[in-house]
Amino acid sequence: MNAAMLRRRTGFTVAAILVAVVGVVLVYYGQVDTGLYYDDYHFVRPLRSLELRRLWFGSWDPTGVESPFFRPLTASLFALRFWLFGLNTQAMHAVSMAGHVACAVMVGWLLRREDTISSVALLGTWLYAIHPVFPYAQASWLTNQMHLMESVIVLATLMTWQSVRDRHIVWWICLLPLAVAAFLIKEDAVMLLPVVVALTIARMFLLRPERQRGWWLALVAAPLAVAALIAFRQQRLGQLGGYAVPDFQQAQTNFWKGIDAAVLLWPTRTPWQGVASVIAIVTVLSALFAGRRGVSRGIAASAVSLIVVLAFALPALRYEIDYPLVTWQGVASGAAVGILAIGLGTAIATANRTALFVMSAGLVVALGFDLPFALVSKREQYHLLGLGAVLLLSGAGEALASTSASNGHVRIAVLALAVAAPFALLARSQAADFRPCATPVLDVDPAAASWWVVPVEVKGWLARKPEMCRDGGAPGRVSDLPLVAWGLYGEERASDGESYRWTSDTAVVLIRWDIRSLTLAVRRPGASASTPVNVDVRGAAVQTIRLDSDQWQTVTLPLADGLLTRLRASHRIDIRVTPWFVPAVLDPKSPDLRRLGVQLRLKSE
Amino acid sequence: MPSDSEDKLLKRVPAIAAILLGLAAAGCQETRASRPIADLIVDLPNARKQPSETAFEIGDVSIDGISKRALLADQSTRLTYHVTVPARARFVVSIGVAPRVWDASGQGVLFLIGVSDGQWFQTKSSVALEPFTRAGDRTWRDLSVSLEEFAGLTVDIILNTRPTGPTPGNIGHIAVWGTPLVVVK
Repeated sequence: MNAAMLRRRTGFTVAAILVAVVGVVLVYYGQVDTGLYYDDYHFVRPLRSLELRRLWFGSWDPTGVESPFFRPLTASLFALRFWLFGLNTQAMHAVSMAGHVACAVMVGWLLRREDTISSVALLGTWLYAIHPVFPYAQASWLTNQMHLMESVIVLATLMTWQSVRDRHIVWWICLLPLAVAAFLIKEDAVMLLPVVVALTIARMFLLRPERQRGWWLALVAAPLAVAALIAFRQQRLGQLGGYAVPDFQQAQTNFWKGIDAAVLLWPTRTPWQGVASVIAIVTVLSALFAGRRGVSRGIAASAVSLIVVLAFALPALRYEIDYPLVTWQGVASGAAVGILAIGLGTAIATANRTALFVMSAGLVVALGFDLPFALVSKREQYHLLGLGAVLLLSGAGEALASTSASNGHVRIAVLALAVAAPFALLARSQAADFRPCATPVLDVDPAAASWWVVPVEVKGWLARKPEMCRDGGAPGRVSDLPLVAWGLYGEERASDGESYRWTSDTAVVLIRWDIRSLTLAVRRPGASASTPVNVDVRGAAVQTIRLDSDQWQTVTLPLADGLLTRLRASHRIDIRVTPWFVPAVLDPKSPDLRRLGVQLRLKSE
Repeated sequence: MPSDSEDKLLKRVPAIAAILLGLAAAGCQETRASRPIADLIVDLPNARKQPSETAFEIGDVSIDGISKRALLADQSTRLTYHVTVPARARFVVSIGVAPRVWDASGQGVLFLIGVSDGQWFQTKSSVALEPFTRAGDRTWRDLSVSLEEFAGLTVDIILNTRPTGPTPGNIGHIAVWGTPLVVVK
């Protein structure tokens, strides 16, 4: 790589980062520190080593709260996230924003490497940053950081494919570990290799590369790899998992729901979706008519394409949803997809193979990754469909830019600005659904409070939250709670009248960062000099309490600041008890399968 | 044209593939013998029995010429065993319907094997046998349930039987759990 090329690449990367950051700020500013939502409450917790192992032999959620899925990498990364950030939601959301920016920049590079003009590549970055599908799917909901991780890996796979597709067949093996990693994050990534194969075939037909090699191996190996992944999942999970298998009609409805919602922006719940669609189509039409060549053929081809694309939207008319704006939104959303039709028509009319390939790539990505959603389709899982939509729109942009008398940058800039307001406003309204006091959040808080694994301190905070939210108040952060503990069972009362809680074999306590010491009192009935019990307490230092009688023993731990304390906005104390016991093992007639460690009393100062 | 390094790499592909295939084949071999760590017939006195103690009996049952020590369960029943699960453990059992009721126009039996970790119950296997209507069900059916997910934990293994027909109470519901074991491979 020579210096000029390096400068160009660096310049483009910097520009893409700036564009992505501006887009993300536009959509998510003021919405970042949005706390936890629904599933987050049971995923944000420490996982014991036994649970980390279980993830590879069964469901991703050993608590049984979630439907069974085989997602060991996702759950492991959640565990790592908790180790790093504890309950510091602000830091976790910052990671989401950084990840979304990274994805947007990767989209720009993906387009740039397909020889689109630089402004079109930046348009892709821009559209990805502000697309309304992402707040729910990967940017605002912490549980959907799994989608963010999946997006990163899918984009990395597509970029790797770009690097290896014209090289020797052996290089294609590089795609395999990425595909496996994506599958271990979420099962819909099983479509990654088929999508790569479809992209390879589309490229062969549309771009006719001189050195297209390895496609035949990919064609054979991809189904084998997919079958192996599915067989591995079945062997580990022992079931299809997830939700009920729908009938064929429901599966069809599910499939089109994803395309409608992520690509056609239909059906809709907010007026901004209709506005976004209308502005987009007007902008593209204006751009098309402003072109100086290929216009008449472009109009004809666009008209045909529009009919084809709207035909895709027709199944949506079957939805029996009574929206006040349904009629207008239906028209507007159908028109929104017109941007793709006009772009496609222009690309065909001008024989713009690059634009046609980028659009077909978008279609392959959207349709391919939508296929598993025939089983169940929810808007919070449309992140890869969103990627497809962005590629489709970018391809349309490339086609429109090519009809410009000049270099097309101005036309792309106009297009980017035109979609900015409606897309960003719509995305902001979606992101606002995750505000701590938003109605959707408050509606599901009681469900979160009912899960056994959620700490009692968090349940108490959830119970107080509606009151705190009343009259526009702020409930604060869950990390502001003085103390939150996992691995402690419910409160019981000792003979001295004071309450205590049994620990499990391990427990984790988070103490607010500004608290300076923690006092623990521990006791184990039956402990003696001949059968002692050790309690290891790991904070800034490790301390072992040896119990050789059934009397209470007290220890005060100083709490020191450190890097992890800052990241977590909390001090973390780990407690490990040896030996622990299971009541059901001591007494076969007992139904109590819990692991019990010691009786514990905590006091923070 | 491929470069020299690519050509060299290509020549090594068959060798690499052979090694991978060999490893895969080795991985598929059942090289370890099963070692029982819990015999649920022996542990029956410690099991929780529903609806009552009298719903169960222990005996030798011969089906299709093969005799096995077995638990016999009459009508809708549930047995709950506490088991501390080691690594590489499986629950293995042969199920059947008692031959003495095969010719009765009663109903078959639904066998359900579940595991609870104290918080979450999972059905690991469910099989319905109807020897009156299906000759193929007049044999032992071997089941094997992986307990790897629960390694290190104390769990409940729960064995349920349910009549599959519409008129429970008729003869024809005597379920047989043959040599129910937790084994380690």
